[in-house]
Amino acid sequence: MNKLFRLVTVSVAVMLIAALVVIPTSAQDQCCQGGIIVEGNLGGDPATMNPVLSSDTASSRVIGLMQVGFLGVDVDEAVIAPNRPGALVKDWTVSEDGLTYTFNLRDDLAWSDGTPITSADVAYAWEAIKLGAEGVLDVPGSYIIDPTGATGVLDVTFPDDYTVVVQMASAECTSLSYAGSLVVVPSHVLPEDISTLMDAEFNLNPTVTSGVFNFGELRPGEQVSLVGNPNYSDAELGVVNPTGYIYKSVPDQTVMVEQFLAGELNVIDGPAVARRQDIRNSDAQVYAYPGNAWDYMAFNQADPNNPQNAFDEAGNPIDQGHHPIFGDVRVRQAIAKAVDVDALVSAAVFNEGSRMTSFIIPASWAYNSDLPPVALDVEGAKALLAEAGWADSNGDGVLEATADAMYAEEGSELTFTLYTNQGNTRREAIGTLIQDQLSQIGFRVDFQTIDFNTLLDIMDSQTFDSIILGWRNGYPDDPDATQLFTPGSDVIPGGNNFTSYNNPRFTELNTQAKNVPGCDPLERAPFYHEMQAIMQEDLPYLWLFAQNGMYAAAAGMTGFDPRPSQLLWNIDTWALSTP
Amino acid sequence: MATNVARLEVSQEEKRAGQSLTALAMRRLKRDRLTLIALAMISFLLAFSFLGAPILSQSLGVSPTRTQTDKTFLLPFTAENFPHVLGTDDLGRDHLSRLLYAGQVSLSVGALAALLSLSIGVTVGIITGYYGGIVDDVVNWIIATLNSIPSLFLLLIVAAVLRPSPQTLIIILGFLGWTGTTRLVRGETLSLREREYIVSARAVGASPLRIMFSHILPNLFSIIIISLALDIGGIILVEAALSFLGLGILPPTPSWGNMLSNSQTFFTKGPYLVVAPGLMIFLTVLCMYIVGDGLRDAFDPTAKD
Amino acid sequence: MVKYTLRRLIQAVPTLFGITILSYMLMYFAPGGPVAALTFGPNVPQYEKERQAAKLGLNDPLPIQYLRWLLGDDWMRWDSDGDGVSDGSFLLPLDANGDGEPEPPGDRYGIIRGDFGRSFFYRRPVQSMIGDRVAATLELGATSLILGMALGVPIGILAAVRKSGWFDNVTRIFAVIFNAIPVFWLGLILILVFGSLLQLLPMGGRCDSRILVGGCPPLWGRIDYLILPTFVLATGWIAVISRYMRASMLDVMSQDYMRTAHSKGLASRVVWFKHGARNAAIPLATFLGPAITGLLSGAAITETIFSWPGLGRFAVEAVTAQDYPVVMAVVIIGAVATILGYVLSDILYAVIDPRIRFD
Repeated sequence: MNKLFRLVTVSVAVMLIAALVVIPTSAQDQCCQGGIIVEGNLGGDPATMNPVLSSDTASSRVIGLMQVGFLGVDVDEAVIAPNRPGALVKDWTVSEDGLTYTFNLRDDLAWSDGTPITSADVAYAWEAIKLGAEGVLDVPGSYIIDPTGATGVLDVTFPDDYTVVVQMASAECTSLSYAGSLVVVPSHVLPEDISTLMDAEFNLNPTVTSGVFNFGELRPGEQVSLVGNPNYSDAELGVVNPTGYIYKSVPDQTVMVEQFLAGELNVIDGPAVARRQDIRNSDAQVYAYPGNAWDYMAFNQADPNNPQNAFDEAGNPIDQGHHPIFGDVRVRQAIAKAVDVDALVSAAVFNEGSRMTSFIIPASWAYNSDLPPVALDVEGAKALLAEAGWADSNGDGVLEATADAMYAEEGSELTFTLYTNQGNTRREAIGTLIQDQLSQIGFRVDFQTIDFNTLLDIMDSQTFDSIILGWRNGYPDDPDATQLFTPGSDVIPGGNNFTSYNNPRFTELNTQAKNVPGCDPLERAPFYHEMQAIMQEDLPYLWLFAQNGMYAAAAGMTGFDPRPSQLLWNIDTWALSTP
Repeated sequence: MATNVARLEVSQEEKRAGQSLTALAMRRLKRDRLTLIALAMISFLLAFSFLGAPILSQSLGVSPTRTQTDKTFLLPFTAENFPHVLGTDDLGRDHLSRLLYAGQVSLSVGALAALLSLSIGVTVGIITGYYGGIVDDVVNWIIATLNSIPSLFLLLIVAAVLRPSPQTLIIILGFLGWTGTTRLVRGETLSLREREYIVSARAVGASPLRIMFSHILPNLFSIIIISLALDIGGIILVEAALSFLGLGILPPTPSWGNMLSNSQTFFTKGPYLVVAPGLMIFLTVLCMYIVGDGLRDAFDPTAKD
Repeated sequence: MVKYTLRRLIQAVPTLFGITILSYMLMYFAPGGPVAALTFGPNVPQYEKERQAAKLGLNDPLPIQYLRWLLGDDWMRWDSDGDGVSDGSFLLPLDANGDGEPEPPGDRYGIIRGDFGRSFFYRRPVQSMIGDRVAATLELGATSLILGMALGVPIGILAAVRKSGWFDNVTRIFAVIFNAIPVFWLGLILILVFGSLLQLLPMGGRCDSRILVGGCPPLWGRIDYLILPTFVLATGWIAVISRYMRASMLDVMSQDYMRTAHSKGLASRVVWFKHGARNAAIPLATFLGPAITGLLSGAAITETIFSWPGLGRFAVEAVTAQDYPVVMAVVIIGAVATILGYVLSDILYAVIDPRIRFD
């Protein structure tokens, strides 16, 4: 007994001394002293932690913290840029014809198990993307392969360990962002038979990483935890500051704000608009920016009872008819004058929004800041409606079509259905306000909230009158309008130009803008400026607003320095002053 | 002639039995002050919602749909915010008139769904209790199936399949809530079936339909009225729960449930927006339960006075 | 007793069959489907949507789809010589799309063999995700049922013993009040008061979030996380059990043997608790079946409010995301649990109450 006791005491003493000696000499103990960052997660669990399979926000969030990306982003300019920390591509060259991009990779990056990161790790992802295009795997990046070969990426080759050559289908300026869908995966730990990738153990237990954090654990329904990576070579301060990062599930925005104010969370992204003032009034650090998600009210300009594609299979235009009310641009303009968008911003999002003047978000380099939004002018709206042949002939407060109306049957009421998706209180508020405001100038609006998928069905089949919905732009964002507003995308079902908007001048400008040689934003911008002015006249959508984004961090968090849509880009420098 | 006499006797016997119990129950109810208060409260809520709303719009000129973005979150019970007695909501709509219209929706949904589930439950219960055999087996199988799925899960899927509107919600809740009543009615019918006057009615050749609906049904009065009170309360609660999960009655149609769940985010800006619909749900359900309880006690044949 | 148990289990088979039909029909007629939601974005081209639709597309007739879901399809189209190409089929054509190539062999085992399919959202087998959720729900369900019993039974007894006294009236009023409060409303108020205002208890979750690896500590190390959700889930039970217990106790107290015990001069306390309560508690055994459905229904809301990672919240999230394989799995598991609960309570009842015999 005594012997054993002595043995234990001695070994404890030895270990203590060893620890005292080892700790100060280890360089790595500098790492990860900054405390644990806890962020609120309003979505579900990450579906996967495999970069090539990830499509949901939660997955992208944690993968971005654990793995280096293929292309880097300049967060100040919000454009894809060479030589960025945490990105594999060093720089690239473009061939004369603009079709071949040659990416040079860094040779100084390694996986957490010591294996160097090479082009083979991109090649694996490309093979998975190809299998995705064949329908074998669910790979979100497979959209870059167009079966017709008209757009997207044609082929990717890997001449040596540190070179990736991407063959584009066209020289359009959007090509570079297609290459951005390439990812880097640790091919040496993934299954050799790529068709079994969906069930790879790595997807839920990514033991091999390359980013700021290593994987900690996934507690389903609760949180994902990541642990600071002592070997991260791109750390701005030389070492990674945070001890760990936790992405914690919270049931809703209200509870998220409460947990943040109570200190259970120390970073939040997108708190409830109604509570933002409370956060500003607290001692928290706050960063607000015009968001990249924007709401609109879309007008179906074609006949909703006989929906048609813009072109037949041979490419000849099809007569799509006209919407009895919205087919006339003057009616759309009248609505734009009658709806008080500023009031919508104040009531629906407590002024936490930025007005859209046209189809490009204020945060974009293509945004035309000289173009003012459509001014509120209720009398002007009434005059336009009268000019378009609408008058209240029976005195019930709702206008009827006169013989002068362009597409409406004489005597028919100025009434339409307005849909939005259920469960979105902001859009419910917008719809309620628009319904009431338009009733003041003689519309009768049947406003309904419906299930999201049902709404998408109605939208895709182009049988609707009007819809309130929103788009979330990508990051970095390209202002290209091909999918949204050119007749080539006016396809049933599923084409994104579901309002059947067709303005040849706009389409031509769009084509010119995305084919500017060299793709310099400064040279492309003038085209988009003119396009925005056209859109403000044509109004396929009523331009509403982009809800502002907001990030907040606890008062004691140092290093918190977000950019629009970039909260955690420098997380390796973050630290809590009282960890 | 013999048939007529028999029928007369039968109906008098059952009438006497029914009358005496009903009369006894009424006497007991008159002494049950809590139940009376609850009944008065329910009548008040009904009148308030259905008569109060139009009167309010007429007299004060407020409307549940008129938005005023410059007059959001007006406080209740203040002179300067007149005529918005209960203030305004996040879009500047008059809170009181919205509350009243929501009451019409919630109370109608509760009452109609309860009536629907009750009609199904009573009909199925009488038929199975009366015939027994294979009909009884099949119905028991359906009931066992429905009861084995946690009710809220079932509601969740059904509400996800059918787009929730007041009408579909009435149908959903009505078609899913009948099993309890059926069991009660079936049991009661089984025992009534063997009563003398039913046996004699059958002997003189009365049709089964006639026996079921003019002889047995009147004796189920107490079960029906108790179930009705309890079901209305329960359904209003379920509607609120579904609204909380985003599957109840959808805005812009107001209901107490969706007003309550939508106003949660405004808790700090306008606590009264959350308190008022919550209070209405609570009061209605409470009163319904008290009435149901009171009726049960009053109709309890074993209870002593 | 074994025979009785077996018979009760066999009786449950048709019920289970009904549940599979009902839930499959509901899923089949649900609107939309995942394709539209999965591919919603301003720059998603048309061909990508078609690709997704083809991949998730269900082109077989409805009964076949139901059978595949229930029993699997490895017996519908198989590969007997192991060359990876199907060479035999039953119910299904070997080459369904008519391209001259046989379709790949079936790889589904059906829910009957524990294969619930792949989640639309998580893209992985549902059964691999459900275990943790069941454990969390069991934890919360068990604690709240225990709390319900621990408070409900004595309250019921006391109320019966002091019938029409102030205690009886107060508990009666409280029982009705707690039944009339919307559960989510009660939960939110408790979070705001105890979590936000007083900062006494955590606002949700199953244990401290600042644990990077190693999972949650054992139950006793995180009691504070259980208090609020357990209370919210138990309120209904306290009310129901206490009312039930009161009625049952009143019934027992009017029995002859109780009067005899009193007349023999035993102390009231001994009579009530030793003789009365024990007999009065017997009917509570029948509560297990309904208790399980009730707990699962209540869990859907309580777990959502308190971010409790259980089955109920999983179901709610799946319904919102229209992730039907998950919804179906939860419904089936909940139903099986309920049926087992009913069988178990029948057996328990028979075991406890000597008047009932196994036959």
